[in-house]
Amino acid sequence: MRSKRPSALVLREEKDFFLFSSPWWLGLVLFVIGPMIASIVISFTQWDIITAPKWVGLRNYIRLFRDDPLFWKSLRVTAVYTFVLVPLQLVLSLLVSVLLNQRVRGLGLFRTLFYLPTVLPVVASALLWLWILNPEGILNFVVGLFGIPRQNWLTDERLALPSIMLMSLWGTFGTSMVIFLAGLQGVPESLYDAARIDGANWWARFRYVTLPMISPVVFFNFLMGVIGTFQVFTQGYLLTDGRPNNSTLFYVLYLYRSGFEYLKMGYASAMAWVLFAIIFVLTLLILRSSSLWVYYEVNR
Amino acid sequence: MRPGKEPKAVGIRTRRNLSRGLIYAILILGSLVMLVPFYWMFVSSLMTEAEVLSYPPVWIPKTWRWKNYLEMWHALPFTTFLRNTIVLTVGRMIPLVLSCSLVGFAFARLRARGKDALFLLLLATMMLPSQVTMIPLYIGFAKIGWVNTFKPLIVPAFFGMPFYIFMMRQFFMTIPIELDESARIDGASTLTIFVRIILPLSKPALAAMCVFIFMWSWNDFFSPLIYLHKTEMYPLALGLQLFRSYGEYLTRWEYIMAGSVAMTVPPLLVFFFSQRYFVRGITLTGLKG
Amino acid sequence: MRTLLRVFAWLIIGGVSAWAFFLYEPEKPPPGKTVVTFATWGGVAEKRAWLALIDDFERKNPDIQIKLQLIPIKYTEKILALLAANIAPDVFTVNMADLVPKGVLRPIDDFLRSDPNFDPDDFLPGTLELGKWQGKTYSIQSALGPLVLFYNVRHFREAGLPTPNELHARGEWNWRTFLECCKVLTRRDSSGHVVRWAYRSYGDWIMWLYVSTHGGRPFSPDFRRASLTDPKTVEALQRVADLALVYKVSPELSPEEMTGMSPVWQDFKRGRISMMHSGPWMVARLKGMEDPYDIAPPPEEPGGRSIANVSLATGIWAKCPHPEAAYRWLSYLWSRDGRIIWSRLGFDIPMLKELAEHKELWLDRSIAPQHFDVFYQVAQEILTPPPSVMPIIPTEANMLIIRDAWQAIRLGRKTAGQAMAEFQPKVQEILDETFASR
Repeated sequence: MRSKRPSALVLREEKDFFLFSSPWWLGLVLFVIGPMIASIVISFTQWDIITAPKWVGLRNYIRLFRDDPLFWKSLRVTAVYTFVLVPLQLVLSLLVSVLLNQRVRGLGLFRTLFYLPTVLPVVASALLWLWILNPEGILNFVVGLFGIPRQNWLTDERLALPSIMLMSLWGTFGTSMVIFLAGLQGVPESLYDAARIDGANWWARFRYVTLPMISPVVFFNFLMGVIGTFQVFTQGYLLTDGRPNNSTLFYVLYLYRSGFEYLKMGYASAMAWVLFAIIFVLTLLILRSSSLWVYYEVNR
Repeated sequence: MRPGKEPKAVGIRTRRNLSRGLIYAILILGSLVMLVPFYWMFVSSLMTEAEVLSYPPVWIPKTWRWKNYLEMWHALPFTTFLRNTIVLTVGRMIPLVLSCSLVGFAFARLRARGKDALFLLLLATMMLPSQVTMIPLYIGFAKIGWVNTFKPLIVPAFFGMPFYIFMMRQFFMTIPIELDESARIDGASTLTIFVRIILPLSKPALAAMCVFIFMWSWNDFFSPLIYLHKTEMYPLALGLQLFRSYGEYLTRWEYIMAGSVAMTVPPLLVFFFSQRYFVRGITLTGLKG
Repeated sequence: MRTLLRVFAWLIIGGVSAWAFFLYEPEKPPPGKTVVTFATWGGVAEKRAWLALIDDFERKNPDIQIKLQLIPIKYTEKILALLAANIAPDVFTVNMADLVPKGVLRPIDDFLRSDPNFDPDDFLPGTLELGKWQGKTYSIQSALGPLVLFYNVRHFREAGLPTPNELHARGEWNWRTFLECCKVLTRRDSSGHVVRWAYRSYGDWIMWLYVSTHGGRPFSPDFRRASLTDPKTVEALQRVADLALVYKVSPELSPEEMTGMSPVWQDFKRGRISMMHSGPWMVARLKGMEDPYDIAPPPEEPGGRSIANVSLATGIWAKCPHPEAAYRWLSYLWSRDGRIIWSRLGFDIPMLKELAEHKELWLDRSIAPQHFDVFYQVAQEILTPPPSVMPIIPTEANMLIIRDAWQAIRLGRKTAGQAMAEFQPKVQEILDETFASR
């Protein structure tokens, strides 16, 4: 930094920056920071919106951690969902994109086919899967061909969450596949050639060239996947409404229920802040861990 | 690889053919798995009630009952739902495109002190769970009488969305900065640069953003669920869910699937006609962490 | 060609958007009319009936227009959202325990006093008490929906079983004989796959009926104290759960049932199940059923009674700007004319003495089951003081029991005793908190 006073030109650019970005920072104040402050305040009250709020201090938080088994249950359900689904999705989509990257014929067609489910609106997809997972539906028919007895996919406590995962996997798999494919196409061919000259087989090429080269992409998608998946709502709301026996009670579903079904706005706000804290810590942990497994080119 | 001259090459080639075959087998199997639900959705929508109820399932209906679509469409005011969806989609797309490209431009091409910190803040808000602000926003919109109107859904679009701002910034970064500089030397104002130079060069990115916004808005379930409580205001996403919740149609899967197909057709068309932009947009935001 | 296509595409997009934006018919209230908004829940069948009712009312009250908001699912959620946003309908149905204490409804005693058409003696005894809260009247339960047993007459005949009504006449109709019938009625194909279930639970809230028909007392009469571990309550729940878990005569939970929708009556109508519990509103829905069906009192144990859902009250919003007009609509709902239209379509049984005595005024025998009078018998039982009704407790407490506890029992995860013991303190805490804030 030079100590010289900024020139008029620079000052004007600065002014323009704040002018041009004004929609964003105005929105930030109006729709993010303001509500966040309000949310903290509300989380210290007992409030149903209809009658006047009552200040209860930390009681909502204490109750959440000490007396609410559903809170822990919903946290566990969400964590299991996230940390099974996201890695599974990344591994599968990486696999498929590596296969597609082998200069296969009909690349465009395959890519479209794999991507197609992501185009389906969530509601339509939920209804479709309700139909597929129905006790008399085609999934039972298909597994029946392999001699597996009929299952209650959505009403069996052990199967409900995996069934929702299956549906989400089908519906979101395409996005990360397209991203990985683009990442793979960006890996310079010269690296593979060099590896071949050194006698590396396909596994070694994958392990020592492909994987390091696209690890930043994997990392970024892992991070965004975890953040997004932790906030899952619609699938649980539409398919099972948290049941059976709360085995699909996602955290946000429970939050929504507290706020909009029981009108416990203070409690729901406290839950929102706990969610925020969890996501914040998770993000930090993942970022910290990145140096262990993400390879960045020196010039980045 | 060119055919080699060494005797080993034949062995390599058979192995290669084998692994090629395996690759195709996996890919074809995988895409079948992806497609079967689609097929089932479409086929179910054309069945009679008896065919839907039969087990083992009927894979090909005897006659294609297109009437299902008509009957389902008239069972609830689906034309109104469609119209509401279009109003919401267009009503959010136009302001979002404007605001996001404007802000993205500022972050990509204007120098200012504190910009990096602000950009970090922008990224941070992308990670902020919307539930944190949901309750105060609902209360706020309720207090000014906006619940049960489209306003809480449309007005925030004028203030951009972090994800699309980020996407536009990523794109604008790829345009050579020399263009701006030479224009500035010619005395062009920032607005002129934005409108005359940057925007015309950004048509693919703008198109990608439009496609994204379309998909998101067509899909949006949560915010209409919270803010719209009148059937006449429902978008398709809520209308379809409502349709099923009427006891009379609860197990009429042929109608429910017809509704799902009908709701899927527009995004499907958009997808097919804009695949290029779509893929571009995804890679733009997914590749550069 | 390319350009032409592009122009064409833009024209279509532009046209569709224009249609969406500009062709909204502006909704203006007709001059000189007061618009009363009215929200309640129901499906397609109810909608037709409400429209008939509104039609008649508007003809008699040309200065009022009724706007119907029919909410088929997540009803409480929607009403709460509207109340929170201060845009509630003028007349609507709510859970009394949740919202009447919060002052959401307007007491109507002043209107009742000055209404020349209102005479408490017109109603069957016990009816008016149901709409009162702490001495004030908020609602009048002008019709009752007593829960009875619906059964497929053909299935019983083919199985060679005496019908529930015959058993009842012999004094042998209880949960034990019910189970015996169930075992005979369930049909399996050669592979053991059930093609017809004897009984299916109508929805999770119907668990209160099981409790009540066993003589269970899970709450004190004023609903301030919970005693969920009451032995008869526990026995009832375990017995019904065992229908699916042990005897396999009733299906397990279905995905529809979990999300609060009932696929049961469709299955009953198609003859895929032989028995279900439900109320008079079913008569309208079962119109056109192929097999003959009939109704009987629900199986009962000594000291047991059926119940009706009176925890819901239809009243006037406390902040309604035109309560007089709203009252006119509300009082039409319980008036003779209103009741005749509504009950004729097959939804409720009216609680007006005159109509109870002269069923020919409204009962459409062509769609009514043979033993239609069972509804009144059961209703009379229910109204015998103290009335046996569904618990008037806050939604959260109710959901804990019917969603969480009852589901764990039905899935066989917990015995009824364990589940009820586990939820007792939590439910009591909610009740205490609700009463403390009043």
